[in-house]
Amino acid sequence: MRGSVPSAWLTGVERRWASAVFDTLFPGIADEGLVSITELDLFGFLDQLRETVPARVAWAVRFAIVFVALSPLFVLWRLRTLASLDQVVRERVVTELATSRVYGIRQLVLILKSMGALLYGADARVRRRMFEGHPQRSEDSR
Amino acid sequence: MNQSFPDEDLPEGAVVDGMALGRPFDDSYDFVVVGSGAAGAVAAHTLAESGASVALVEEGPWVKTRDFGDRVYDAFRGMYRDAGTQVLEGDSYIPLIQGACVGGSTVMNSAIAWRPPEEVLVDWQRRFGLGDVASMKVLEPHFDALEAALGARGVQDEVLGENNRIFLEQAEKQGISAVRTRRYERGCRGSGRCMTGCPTAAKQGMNVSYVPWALRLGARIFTSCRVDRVVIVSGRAVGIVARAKGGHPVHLRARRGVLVAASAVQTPNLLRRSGLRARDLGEHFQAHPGLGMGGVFDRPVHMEFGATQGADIEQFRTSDGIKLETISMPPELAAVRIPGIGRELMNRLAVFSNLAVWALIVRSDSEGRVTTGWGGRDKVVFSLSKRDLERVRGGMARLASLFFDAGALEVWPGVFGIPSALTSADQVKLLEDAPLDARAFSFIATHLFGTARMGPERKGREGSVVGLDFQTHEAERLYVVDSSVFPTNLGVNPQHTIMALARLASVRVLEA
Repeated sequence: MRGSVPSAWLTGVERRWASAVFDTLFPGIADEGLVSITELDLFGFLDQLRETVPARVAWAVRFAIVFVALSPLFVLWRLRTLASLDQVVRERVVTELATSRVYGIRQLVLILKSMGALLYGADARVRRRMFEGHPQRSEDSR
Repeated sequence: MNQSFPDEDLPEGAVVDGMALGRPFDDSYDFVVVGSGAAGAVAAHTLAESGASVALVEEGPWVKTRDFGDRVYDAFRGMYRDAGTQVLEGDSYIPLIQGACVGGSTVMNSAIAWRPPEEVLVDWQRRFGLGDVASMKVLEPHFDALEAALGARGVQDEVLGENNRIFLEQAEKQGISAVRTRRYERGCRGSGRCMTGCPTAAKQGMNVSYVPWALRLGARIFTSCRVDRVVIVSGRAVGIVARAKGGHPVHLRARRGVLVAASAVQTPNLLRRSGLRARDLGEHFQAHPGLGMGGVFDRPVHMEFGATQGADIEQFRTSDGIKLETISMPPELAAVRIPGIGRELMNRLAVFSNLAVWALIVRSDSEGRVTTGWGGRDKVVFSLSKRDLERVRGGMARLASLFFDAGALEVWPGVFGIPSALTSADQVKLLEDAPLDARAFSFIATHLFGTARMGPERKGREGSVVGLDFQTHEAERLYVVDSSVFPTNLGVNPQHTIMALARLASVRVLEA
């Protein structure tokens, strides 16, 4: 994983969970030329985020990571974390959360999706793929 | 490429950067203006043009045109309040977008220049007693001057872009009156980067127009300096106390007055910190909650090229309380609104080129409140009423119909309880029956009003906060010149009205 600088903010376990959570949200599709978010500088981004956003937001992100990582406990009723599941099951679990009847749970997924999107959508390779076919902006994103 | 921009080569000493300030600062001016957004910049320029000495104080930094990138996160970090994470708190959390840099929100908005609807001004006159302050006859010369100075015009053909063109064509086919958005711009190249700062300074934000113009007339700006309070002595405003980002205090005396233009969220709390106690201060907060809807076509739309917001439908403003418009989103923001997670999300991102985003804003009846939250932060409590939500779902149904009639293969409404992707016009009726629950929708709030309302009368602590001369009822020579004084929201983008009222206010302050 590129740029996996040890994070002072998240513990080692939380980093593993964060990696699994964001990879579930933005796994990439090789055939489509879309990379996984874990190939980007995820931890550098999260560290910078902590310094940038108000503390309450940083704590909300951290809580959301932990909550989603542990969600198989109450979604699948299995003693597993998200990181220990394969991608298909992970997506099923997180989709359950994202479509939960409980607004607060949906918001936790949305927070992570929003933050992940800031990193993912800014990547030059992702942008090249998204802007494909428009000569001016494809060029810009190089 | 050595193109020079208007925010460069400024007069020596005109910019005091609070980040670099190495000592306490103390100085005197005729006027101190708090906030450098649409209202503050115009006010500072109008005052400086008369020959008065002016200090403009801005909480955020001055991010220069040359430093604008196209990454949203960088823009959030450098120019948006709370790095873009501010929210309205109520029945649901609604992201609240505000600039926190020189130029304020004009740096990242679409520079839309609509005059206010006549019926709104009439309402202000009749219901709130605003008299000629709210008359089009009085405001007209100010609108004319602003439009001439900033090059207000409809979006030009060469930068219209597909997102806007499809919207306009489809509206015309349906017999709906749609127009090209009128914007302040000189030579827009259609970079689609309004939200991250115009990279060519074509968009006439305050950072490249009225602020540098004021500085060239002798005004001085203090950047990265947060105003703690207005100093009021014997019932009269005599200056401000600020704290530079570098830690040093900044005391600026104002011989003739202090003009507050810190926005409808920050102004009321600043006035409270300055000792004002009007009961209505911070009350009657209004906004234009809005939401976007995605439509996927079988051909490229390329939102990344063209005017960010280039087409409007105002036909339903009075009948339905909504305005429909286009808004091109950068990938980072679109990705949040694109349905799904994981491979579903990826598959949809793969067709980003074919995605169009159209939006609605609602002229909400709801009122909220600005208070001081934990740690002294500005807290806004706001919930949409049932009536507002009915308007929203009606507007969404109209947008979805427009999409399908224009040939969209899928429409992504982003409403909880409704399928994430609608695939036929038959499903539009689902939106008409969407739950009347704010938590089901993905709103965003811009355009903020009403927290220091203007009015002719005041009884004790009751009634308006600011008089018809823009002066607070409680302190002489303390003026409020931003959209806090608006008695209601407008139903259209407010920058033009904010600037015209600030210009009028400054002229009146000079005459006082």
